[in-house]
Amino acid sequence: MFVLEGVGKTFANGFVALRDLHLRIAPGERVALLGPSGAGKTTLLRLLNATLRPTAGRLTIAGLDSRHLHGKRLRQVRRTIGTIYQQYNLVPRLRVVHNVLAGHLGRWSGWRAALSLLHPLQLDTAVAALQHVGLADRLWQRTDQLSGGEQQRVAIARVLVQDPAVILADEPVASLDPGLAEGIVRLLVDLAVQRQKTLVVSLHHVPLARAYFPRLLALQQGRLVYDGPPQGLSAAAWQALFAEAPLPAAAERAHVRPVTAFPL
Amino acid sequence: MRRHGWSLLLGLSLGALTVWSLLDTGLSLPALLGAEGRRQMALFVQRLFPPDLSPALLRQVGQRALETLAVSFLGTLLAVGLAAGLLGGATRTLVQGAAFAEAVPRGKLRRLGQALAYGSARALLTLFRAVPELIWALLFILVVGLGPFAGVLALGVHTAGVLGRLFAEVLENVDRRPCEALQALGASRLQVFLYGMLPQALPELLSFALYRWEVNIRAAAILGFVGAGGLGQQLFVALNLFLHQQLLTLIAATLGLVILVDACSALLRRLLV
Amino acid sequence: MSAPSLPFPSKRRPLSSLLAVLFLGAVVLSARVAEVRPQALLAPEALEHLWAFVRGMVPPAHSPAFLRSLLTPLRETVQMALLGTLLAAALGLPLAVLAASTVLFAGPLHEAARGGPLRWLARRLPYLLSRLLLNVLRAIPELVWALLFVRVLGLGPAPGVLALGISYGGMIGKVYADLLEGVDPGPLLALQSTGASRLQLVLYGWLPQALPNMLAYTLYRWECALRASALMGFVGAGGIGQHIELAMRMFAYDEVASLILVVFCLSAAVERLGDALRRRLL
Ligand SMILES: Nc1ncnc2c1ncn2[C@@H]1O[C@H](COP(=O)(O)OP(=O)(O)OP(=O)(O)O)[C@@H](O)[C@H]1O
Ligand SMILES: [Mg+2]
Repeated sequence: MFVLEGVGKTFANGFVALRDLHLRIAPGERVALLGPSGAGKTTLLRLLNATLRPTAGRLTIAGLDSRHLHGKRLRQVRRTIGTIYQQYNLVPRLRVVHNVLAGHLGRWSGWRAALSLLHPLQLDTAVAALQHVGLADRLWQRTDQLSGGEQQRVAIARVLVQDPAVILADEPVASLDPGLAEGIVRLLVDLAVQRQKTLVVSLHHVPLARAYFPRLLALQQGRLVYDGPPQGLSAAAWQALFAEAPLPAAAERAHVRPVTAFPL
Repeated sequence: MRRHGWSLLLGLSLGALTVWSLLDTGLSLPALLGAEGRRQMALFVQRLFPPDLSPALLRQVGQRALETLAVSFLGTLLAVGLAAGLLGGATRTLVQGAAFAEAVPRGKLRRLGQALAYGSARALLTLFRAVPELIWALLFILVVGLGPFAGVLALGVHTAGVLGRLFAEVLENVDRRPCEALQALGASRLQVFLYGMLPQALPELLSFALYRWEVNIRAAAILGFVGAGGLGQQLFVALNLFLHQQLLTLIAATLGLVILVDACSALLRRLLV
Repeated sequence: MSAPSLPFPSKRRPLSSLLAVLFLGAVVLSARVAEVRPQALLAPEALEHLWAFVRGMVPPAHSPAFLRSLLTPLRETVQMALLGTLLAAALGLPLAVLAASTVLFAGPLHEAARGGPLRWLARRLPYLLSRLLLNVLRAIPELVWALLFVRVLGLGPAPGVLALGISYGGMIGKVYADLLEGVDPGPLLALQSTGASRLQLVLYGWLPQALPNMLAYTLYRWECALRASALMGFVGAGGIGQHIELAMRMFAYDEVASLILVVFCLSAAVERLGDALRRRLL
């Protein structure tokens, strides 16, 4: 699905957010992305959903080089990638229905989109998606009246309507309490398993990641420092990662799979 | 310290300008408020009474008031339409293809085209609002003849300049994160506008439009001075023909109309925004 | 998928459809009352007039004598706007203090206030009266005021200044009052507890807090005043408007073009200046 060869991202202000990433994510894989704040998780996900462009290396999305994507092709590629953000990804003043139906935008023409704002089209898809996340009764409510957890589920409903091949989620549970968080993660994972979607989720919560994802990636200061199964790292190693202490030198080569155990 | 210097400089130049203006225009409050000035004013006010309340005049005034109301309403509506039509060019984020996500570096020609569209839309809006409505009214009278229609056009064009700029600023300042999310799922420029920018901006846009309606009812009341219909025309005539007793009725009608529109606008704002 | 087709939420529907119907009705009615005839814009004679006008405007009048004759009205316009705005602020400020409910009776500062019905009335009466006065002042357009003052005082810039001062005084007063009401009461309470009088509270508590916004609004009014004073001439109150009307009546379209250009430049320049000053202020 995604192939990264030496991908780097330097922002316009000169800040190097990601450097020299080598990575391959196959269709149907479930991957958790871990790392301390500022490590570049969001940046990486934005590269993957083609809202940022790499400044170094090569990123291929579904076999297409991201450098050559623009116009209609770009929109088509973006349509196949659904993204859920930590927050702020819904339009607050719009009704839930329209936020969910926005998942169709990649397929709809401008006219259809405009018409749907006046009289919702393909309403059944929105209802079904909301039922899936347990919010069918909120269809007509204004989105900013929902709680944080409910909004996150609406965002998932939008992805359901979008029906992409890949689901990216950027800290989808960071602003939720732990009980809710696990529910949301499980929802995403079940979805990916049932419908055979690729799932990449960035998380702060290591136990959740270890419990639900067969493959973990760890970023630190823009570098990939671990790529492998949850068992590959001890709890102490994870702690060290989040303490922003650089991992032992061996970790630098960790992205070569399969990963050997760490000396910690 | 530097700030202080600036304020001082500004204050001093303001003071100097004021003194110069006072001397130059020969305006003196003592003369205005002195015995002679007061006598003149009292005389004038006396002549306004009793107001002319004859049915014939009232009917005429009612008709003119309705005309004024219609001109202000349609003028504002036309302005919203014109402003909306120019928004695609005047809003930076829209001209650049609703580029909330990083776009492919475009060719020079494309960027030049965008800059040109943006520049000309903004220039047009500046032209619209920099020429006062009364002057637009003179121009439109030339084209469509005397009457309230010219007033509608004049208000519409001038107000479009004001609203267009405000609208563009509101749209440029919406939260970009929901818009980026829409773009990330494949929405086009128009769709990002419809689903992301417009819903966020709508209350403010409405509120600005209502505010301009309040301004325009006052403007519509004076458009008649140049022959573009409404209460102003009668006011002008009454004053020039020394029909002082009609004057008070007309002023009262203007007052009532303005207060009515202010109240309507406040009510709508509460209902819609 | 068998999805229950949920209906629209019923709560808002009557209101929005009522508003929509009212709106459409208002548009149709207004169009009739205002004699809207879009086809008049494209009528042959309309285009002919327009063409004559446009042709007459090129090139704009630019003889030295004509340009020199613009200096006085231009100066008058600028002076009128400045004096009018100052007068408006001077008139609006005291009225605003009385018209701010929190200064006289409302809000946390007056929780301890006591007294019989007479005291109660004494606190509210100034408020009601000044709000009423402000409403009347700003409801009558400045050009109508100018028309009246020209009749009383004769031609010249003086009636223009008074007209601006009075109508803008009403607008400025109302906005000042609203700004004063929006002031953070914390510092006021602190001042009050030191035993400050009401006047001292206004001077040291209310005004300093509201000042930047008040100045910014005054600046905005000054911009409006400049545009308005360019029109005062239409009713004989001096300034550049008089020349525009005259030129228009004499079909001297080249002069009209220059005059409009002058108004355009003035207006655009003032807008830029205002934007820059406001950025400094806020
Ligand atoms: N547009 C930008 N311009 C400049 N620097 C940026 C930009 N976006 C992000 N950065 C920087 O890049 C670094 C990585 O940011 P990113 O958002 O990817 O981190 P993250 O791992 O998602 O952190 P968090 O867990 O706090 O969300 C940060 O130091 C951030 O300041
Ligand atoms: Mg992040």
